[in-house]
Amino acid sequence: MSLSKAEKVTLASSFVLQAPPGEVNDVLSDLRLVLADDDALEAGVTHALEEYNAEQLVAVDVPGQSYKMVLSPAGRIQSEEGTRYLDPRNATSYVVDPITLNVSSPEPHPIPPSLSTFGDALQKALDGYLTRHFVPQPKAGQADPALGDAACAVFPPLVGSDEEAGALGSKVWTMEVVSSRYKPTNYWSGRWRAHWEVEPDKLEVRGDIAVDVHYYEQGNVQLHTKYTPHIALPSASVTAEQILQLVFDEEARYHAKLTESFESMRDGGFRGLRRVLPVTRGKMDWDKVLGYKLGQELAGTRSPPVAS
Amino acid sequence: MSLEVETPIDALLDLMRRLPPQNVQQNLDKLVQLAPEDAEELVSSVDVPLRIAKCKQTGLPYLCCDYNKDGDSYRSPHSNEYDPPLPDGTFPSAKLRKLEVSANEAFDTYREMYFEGGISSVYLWDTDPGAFAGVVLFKKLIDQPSCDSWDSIHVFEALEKGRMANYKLTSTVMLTISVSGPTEGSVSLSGSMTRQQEQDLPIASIQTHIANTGRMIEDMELKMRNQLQDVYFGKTRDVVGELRSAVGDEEEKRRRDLAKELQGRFGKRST
Repeated sequence: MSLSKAEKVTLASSFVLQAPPGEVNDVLSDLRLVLADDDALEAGVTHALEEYNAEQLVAVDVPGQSYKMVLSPAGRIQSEEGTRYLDPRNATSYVVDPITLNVSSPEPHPIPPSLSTFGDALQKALDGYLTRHFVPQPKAGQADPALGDAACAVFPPLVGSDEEAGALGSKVWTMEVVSSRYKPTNYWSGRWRAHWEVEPDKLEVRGDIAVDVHYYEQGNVQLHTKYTPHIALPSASVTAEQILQLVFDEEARYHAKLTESFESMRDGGFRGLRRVLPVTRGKMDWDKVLGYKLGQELAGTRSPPVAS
Repeated sequence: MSLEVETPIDALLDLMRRLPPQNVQQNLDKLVQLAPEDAEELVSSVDVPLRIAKCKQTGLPYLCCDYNKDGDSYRSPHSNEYDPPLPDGTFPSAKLRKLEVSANEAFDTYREMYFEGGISSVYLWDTDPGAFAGVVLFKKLIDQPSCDSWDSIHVFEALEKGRMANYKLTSTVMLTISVSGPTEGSVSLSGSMTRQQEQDLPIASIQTHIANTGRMIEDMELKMRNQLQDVYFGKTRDVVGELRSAVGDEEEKRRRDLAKELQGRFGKRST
């Protein structure tokens, strides 16, 4: 029984979506070898790659800009000609090649003033947070820094005019933060993603933080975390700076808790699975072990064989 | 990863080294569908968490892997019979079966001492004259409060050379640990690690093989347990710290400056 081309592409797509940080191209080239049908693969997995890029908040270079633009479902504009991505900072939308990540075909995408004022203020506050906590910087005593980058973006509701914006019942601004590091010489890669939906009208910020780490020296070890906090806002007229302070507090608390949970997993689950040494604190006496079994049966007693 | 990937089977194995170990069984099943012509080699090269079966004759549990499998049947180490029955299946020679029974007893004692629960199974098979091979399996599951598991697979080849024997050991440990709760959300660590070791050891009788492989496996598990602890709870945590600085850029800079200053002072003193 062999699979149809469509079934193969569905399976291949599910692997693309599971690619560890920075390894999607390796997964793609593996799939090319397995499927041996480049055309079907390219056509079929384009959709999966678009999904992957937006889900992983892949950051791409924008021609003529110093910052990186974040691909996000909140900035995705579907039209008959295909998918475009909004760069809210320069109010322009682009076509982004899902495989090469090449950015092209800029088109103006004006953001209504009633939305851009608050959006710009959030962006400014978020930029500050990004610099303080996510932008790579050398660490004390570390000569060989990891590769990678950090980026952020604030997406307003995708409407064309103040009139349309006014017609929205409740407005949601989406803040995306992504921080990726790759260190192939030490066999690891990692990504921290934070997605925040800011809805002042409902006095609420909804978060979704995900951290993924791949460690692959003589093995394959992965960390996957997920945390979805809710932050209550004190009033609908809360400022962007106040919102960022609340987001920072929540994320700092989460980071501390995550660091703690490594200890609790080590001292809890891990220790409960296998002891370092037997309860007697000595290794097993293998020469006695078979005699011990016999002796145990004869005497009906039980004391483990241990090398003295 | 620097491994050369040139053929479909290389690519399939490379994929399994990249895809989340949390989904190893589902992904393996999907790859088998995608590449049926390489399925056999793929399945025999990828380690998945061990399946537990119950011996029909003794009611005791045992572990299933590629090495006690013949067709669609698995051999019980307790009864030496296949389930579903397979009279023409592959069995160890009478001499090796005797050793297999002793080895199961010995490693069961080891299991109780180190795992304080769980299941162990040992399977041996004949290779060349004066040589045999085997696999020692351990599995421990803890369902509460989260679903944590340890699976170790130790495959060895033993070659007798006069009063010495040469042992080649390949050990794989699969480990899954997780926590979840309202303040930490869900945290899942999962993976596998493989190490190899070769040793020449003296033999007095056929029973010596149990003690020799036992010591090698005991040392290997101790070493791998330490490495797993280091990677899972140390290195991974450090990578998280690289992605997001808990202390912020000003404090990082202050620490860098301090380190530089200390280094400067230390440098002066040592000259």
